[in-house]
Amino acid sequence: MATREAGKKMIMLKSPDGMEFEVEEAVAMESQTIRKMIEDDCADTAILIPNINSKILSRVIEYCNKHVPTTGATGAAASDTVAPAALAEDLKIWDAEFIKVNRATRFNLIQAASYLNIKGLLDLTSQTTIDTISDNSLEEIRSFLSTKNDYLPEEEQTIRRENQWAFQ
Amino acid sequence: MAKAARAGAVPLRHDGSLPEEIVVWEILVRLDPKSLLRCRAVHRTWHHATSTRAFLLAHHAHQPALPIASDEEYILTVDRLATAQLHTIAHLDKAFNPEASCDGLLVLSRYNNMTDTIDFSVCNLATRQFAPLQQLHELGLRLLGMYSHQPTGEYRLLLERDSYNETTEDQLGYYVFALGSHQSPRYIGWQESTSQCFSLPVLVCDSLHWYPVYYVSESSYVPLQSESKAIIVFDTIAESFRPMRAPIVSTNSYAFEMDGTLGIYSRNYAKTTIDIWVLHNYKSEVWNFKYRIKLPVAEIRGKFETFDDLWNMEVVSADGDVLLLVSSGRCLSYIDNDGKLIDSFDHGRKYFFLSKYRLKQSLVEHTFFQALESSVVNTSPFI
Repeated sequence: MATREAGKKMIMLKSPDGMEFEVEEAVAMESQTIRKMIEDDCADTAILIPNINSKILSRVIEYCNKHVPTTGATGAAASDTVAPAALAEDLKIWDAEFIKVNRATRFNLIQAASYLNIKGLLDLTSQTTIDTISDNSLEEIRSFLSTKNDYLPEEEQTIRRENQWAFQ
Repeated sequence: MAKAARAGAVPLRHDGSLPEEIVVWEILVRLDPKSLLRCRAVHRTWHHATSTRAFLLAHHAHQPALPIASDEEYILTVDRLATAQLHTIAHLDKAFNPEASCDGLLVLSRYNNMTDTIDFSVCNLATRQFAPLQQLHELGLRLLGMYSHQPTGEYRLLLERDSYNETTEDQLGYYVFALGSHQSPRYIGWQESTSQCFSLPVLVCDSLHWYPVYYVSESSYVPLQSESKAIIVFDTIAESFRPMRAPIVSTNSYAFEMDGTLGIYSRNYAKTTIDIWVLHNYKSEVWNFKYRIKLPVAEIRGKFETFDDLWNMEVVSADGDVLLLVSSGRCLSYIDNDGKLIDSFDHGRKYFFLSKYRLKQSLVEHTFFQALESSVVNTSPFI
């Protein structure tokens, strides 16, 4: 509130590896978790994001910067000149580029989006994983998510039999 | 919601794996029911975590509400975002008509030529449960809608008797029937103001809504009029009717639901323009005129020879905005709110019929199935 007359209010985000990121409050509030901290007045100087390293946090901020709604005094000018449909199309292309990362990074982004509660980022990052699980065999799913089969063979057969139609 | 709290501030992993909570509450919770059931065989903990009621309710909440279509014995959903836009969710051994839909439950009807009556049944296509509603057979009641009665948690059917059967002791009016109950439908009264032609109800804010419909056929001489009629509202908690203010629209208007908001779309006589109204503030009953969409009829016709005047249309929501889904013959098209044709394809199905119902699939167990006689799981009519 105090810095409103100076333009946009800024928030400091800190990663556990000691990096600091100064972002506009509106950008940080794309995260519902941070929004709640700000609204509950728990965010006076800086917010420590305890579990997200600087590499992933910087990518999350990049996403929020791109997706923050362009409303208000400065944003209105931008949306006057560009049609909303064109903006949406531009965002889609940007998202497709953004998500071209390796699996480990994508999993980290899913976890960050979940912790920070950023719906758009979560939808974007989880979709490929959901598609992979829907389209592949059980063994491929296990290998994709680095998990081991802990069923006895007869147990697995029972589960398959219970929902046989789902395996057809 | 509250996912952040569930997941907690668990440190990121660098070994290309995801924490269990994230897999369960962010990934598995978004799978379609069939993929989810399959995934229970991946890992013991997945099976356990995805079988709790809390998980199944969250899973249901994540499912999209998709338009239902039928093609003889097949029940399909239409999903623009899926790889296969037309998805078979059930293959039954007979053809049924969808009659009501709520929380993943479908009421189906089928003409019984032995008794010359309409037989009703209830099913959950995701859990493959099916039960004939034998108490309703031969009563001659018309089904108006299905809802979850919040105070009791029961699923109930709203029924109407609009003409006498052989027996005249049954009163004309409205009846309520709880699924799983062994009692006959309960009479809840009759109101002159509601004696209209009911179309399909739209369920928002614990109420069923109908925009009264006059069926105007293309050949009829009845001119379309612009007028304001009250929307009929059935409060599913109090189980009583009331009128609600509606905008002044043409007589070819229908109610629809979009992300929990009530809307009305109305089309002009030539079927070239669609007007869309929405009720952003439910309590105010003040309607906002949102879009006038000109349909690119010539463009669609240019693409598909099968496109004829016998098309039907649904308003579907996409990212909080509206899309029109137009079905004609073997062609399905999507039109955005600027009237731009954004997608179309030939589904190749001969007896395809796009219904006005939506299905939001659910694997939540409903105890009423066990209470219904002749209830079956995963057998006929399922194939």
